[in-house]
Amino acid sequence: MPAVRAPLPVASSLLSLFTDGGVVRGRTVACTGDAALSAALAVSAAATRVGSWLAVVGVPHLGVGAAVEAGVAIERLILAQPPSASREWVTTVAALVEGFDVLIVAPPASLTGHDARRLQSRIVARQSVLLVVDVPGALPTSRTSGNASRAFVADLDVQANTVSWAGIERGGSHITQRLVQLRVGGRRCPVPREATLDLSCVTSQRVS
Amino acid sequence: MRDQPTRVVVVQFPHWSAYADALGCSARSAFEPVVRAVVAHVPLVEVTAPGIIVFATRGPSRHAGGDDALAALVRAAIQRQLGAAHDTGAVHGTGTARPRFGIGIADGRLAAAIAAQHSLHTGTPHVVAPGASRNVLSDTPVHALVQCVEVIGAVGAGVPGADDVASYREVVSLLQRLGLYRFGDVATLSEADLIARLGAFGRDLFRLAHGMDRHPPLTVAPPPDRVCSHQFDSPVESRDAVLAIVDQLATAVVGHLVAHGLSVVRLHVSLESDHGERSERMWYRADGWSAGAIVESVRWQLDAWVQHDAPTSGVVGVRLSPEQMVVDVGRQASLWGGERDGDRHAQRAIRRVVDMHGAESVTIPTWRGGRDPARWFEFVRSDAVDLERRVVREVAMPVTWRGSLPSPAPSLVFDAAPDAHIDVHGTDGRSVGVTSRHAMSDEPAVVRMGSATYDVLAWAGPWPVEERWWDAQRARRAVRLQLLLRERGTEQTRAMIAVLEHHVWRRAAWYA
Repeated sequence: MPAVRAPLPVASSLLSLFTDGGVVRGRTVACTGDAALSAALAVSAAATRVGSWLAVVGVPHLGVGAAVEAGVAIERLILAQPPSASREWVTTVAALVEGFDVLIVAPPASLTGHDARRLQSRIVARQSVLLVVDVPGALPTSRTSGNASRAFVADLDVQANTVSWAGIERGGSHITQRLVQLRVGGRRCPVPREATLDLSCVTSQRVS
Repeated sequence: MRDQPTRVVVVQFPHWSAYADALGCSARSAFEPVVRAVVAHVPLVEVTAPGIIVFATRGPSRHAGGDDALAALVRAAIQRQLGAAHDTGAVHGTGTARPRFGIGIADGRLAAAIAAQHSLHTGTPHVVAPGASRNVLSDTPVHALVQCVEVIGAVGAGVPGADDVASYREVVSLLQRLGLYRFGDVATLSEADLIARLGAFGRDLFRLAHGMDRHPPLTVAPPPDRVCSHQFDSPVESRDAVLAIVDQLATAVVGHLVAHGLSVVRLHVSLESDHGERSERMWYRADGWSAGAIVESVRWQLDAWVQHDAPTSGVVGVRLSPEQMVVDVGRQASLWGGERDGDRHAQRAIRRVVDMHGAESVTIPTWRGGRDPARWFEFVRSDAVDLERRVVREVAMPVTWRGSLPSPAPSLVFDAAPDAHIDVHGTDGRSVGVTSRHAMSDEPAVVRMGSATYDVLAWAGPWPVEERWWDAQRARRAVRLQLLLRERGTEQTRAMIAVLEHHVWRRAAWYA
């Protein structure tokens, strides 16, 4: 039994979703919905500002501007593109787990349940947090399969759906506010919780 | 003159990485045989980057019988080695021409680098007589800085790379606009004026223009016990185990020096096998060595040693001795409370992944700014970034940038890949065009992306993207449209950025 470390801190606006005062280390969180990636960034941001490193795996087109707005400390963010074969992918991500407290991963379609569980046991042993994201629309030519993330047995499910886009009109202004509803459930959270996340004009959330 | 520059030899291959690419191997491993050819005659050389060798003339020159003899000796050794590589077939059949190189000898690194440039054109080593370097410099155009970046080191912190050449270009362009075309013109200015105009690099430029080395010789006494060494109990065969110790030693050395307000620019690294075989090398880095950069260099040295000398037993000793230190000007990460364990673990994990899949498998965002969200951040290969230094450099990053996309920022940003093509149709079913005055031919109504069809609920723009209109070759004329979409047959709304360039729409960003 590994020593229990304090949960990974989350922003105060998300505290109502995570009753333990943050995301309990060693857990796997599945993020789905159209705002899955933004939600995963929002969940990991606070930890990076207190020294944790964040690896984003398999999302080569991450808009780092969005990460900055979410409050991620960019100096502790890296992107990794491991090979997509299941075994190699897991070996690579497992190597990253040794140095990273938070990992946002978009798993390849080839990932097997066995390999996914191998990775999850590394996450538990190293007391990191794994955020598995579905990135629908990342590849418009092949609509998302959404199956890859099912290889994982998630402790928590985060559903993130945009409920409103404000500011944009037919030919005027631009998107100024995006409200995302987050619904946290899953086997470690039997009573689902909800909160609304505001991805509006954040000028600068950076804390040095 | 307050201090004398060291008389040095610079051997420079201007297009080494292109040559190595043509051979299909990494620049470092391809350069190793050349280094070894030189080391056969000169015991201790500095390798700043693949393609550059620098060493002091003092001992070797006396041994060879003068600077000219030394230059001829080194030239012959390199020629022999390159010839051998061509004959043995390592290069044969690839159709690659022998790389050109220049050898320059002068007082100070800059003058020697400029002499090496001359030598490239003439094909024979160029030796500037002792004491004459200052005169040569005063007639040399300041543009020479750009060619010498790898020898004299980056303007700011970091490994010399494309960015550093760019920042040197900026410095040169500024000097030229000020009417300072030659180093002689720069030398007429006071140090204070140069510092006021160019910051910390102004001081270095003042020294360079006066024929001195960038760093003054250290006048304060170095701190005690600055040599760090480790003896293994039994010979170690595993590279990772050796590097783990090097990591510890490097952290200790750098930490120790930082505590004394110093950073090391020239470092001697020696590795010893159980049978007494030795690999020694001098490493130079103008802006000071970080622990991570030391480990990278020792990795190079160790690999080369194992590959070419095949030591007959494992490593029993590692020794790092700082040979030249400079007063730390405050770029160190330690100002921010030092490197944490978490940072070290992360860097180690990155190195492991890079070992498995190559440097391009890990990329690190570096801020650049600009109007196009795809260019806000440049993703830099992990080996081109010094993670420890970067921490400091990125802290004051601005988030809003005039003319950039309004916040909230899209979470997926695509570059102009060929598969990014989409259709944007108007109410009349025809593709939407945009006039030169940024008026759309029709209201956008339908977007097709692969097999998915979306109805347009709202849009913003078009905004012009006109970058570098003054530069015909690199100019971009494009317009950008923000679209709010609903996927046909569902209630799912989506937002995206589409860009029209050369009459073709492509998806540029996606709010996921």
